[in-house]
Amino acid sequence: MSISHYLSLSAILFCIGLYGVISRKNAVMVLLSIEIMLCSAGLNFAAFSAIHNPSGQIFALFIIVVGAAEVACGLAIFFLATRLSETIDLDKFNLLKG
Amino acid sequence: MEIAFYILSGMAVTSAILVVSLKNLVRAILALASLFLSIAALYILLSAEFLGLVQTLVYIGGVILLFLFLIMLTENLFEERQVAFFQRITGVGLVLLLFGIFVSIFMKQPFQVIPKTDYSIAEIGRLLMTDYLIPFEVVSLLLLVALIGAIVIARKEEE
Repeated sequence: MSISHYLSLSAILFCIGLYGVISRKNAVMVLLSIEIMLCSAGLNFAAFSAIHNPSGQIFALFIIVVGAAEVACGLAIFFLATRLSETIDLDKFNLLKG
Repeated sequence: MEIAFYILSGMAVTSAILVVSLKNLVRAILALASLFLSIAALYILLSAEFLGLVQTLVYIGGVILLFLFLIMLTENLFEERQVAFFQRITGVGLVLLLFGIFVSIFMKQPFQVIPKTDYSIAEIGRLLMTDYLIPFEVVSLLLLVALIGAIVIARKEEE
């Protein structure tokens, strides 16, 4: 098992997540795609930590924590947005434009 | 080892494609849970058992539950406009370009076989309490701020 296998897998996952961010209009779907990208980054850190030292696992742990915090805040914002504008379409969030 | 890696990575890629392509939000979230589970198994395959456990607890136990609760508590989440065809094609092109850049970087890397490592949980804990003490505290503060922020944002305004 070489590190290239893990790096390729995480590159594929990152690209799929990026495609989701680009091509979806539903804000919750975009958040799900960002979670895929965070997961792939964590997998990269864990793979490098297996050949160097355990510090990489700590960074992967921090990525998990930041992902959880991001989901909590993001979902609160979407909750508020559905109450304010009755939609979750990203192109219609233009309240700041005036 | 090899066969387990291929099965798990096939599961991960399949569920990631399902997440970005499914129309139904609840099904996409369940596919995301399957992705998280396979990533946790891959962590355990890399002998990062603690990471796999935390991934399962925080993501499947917490994040997926948050998403499902949001869907339960709100309406109007399911409607979604289709993006324009040329925009979708542009997205595929950009993603393939990025993947090509990644592959060209991997080609320059030396072929490194992953050795049989065995970092114990005690080692992780020692690192968290010595070398990474300040980042650990900052991250816990971040979690607290995110928690309070989420409550403040989602609270009903008193008129």
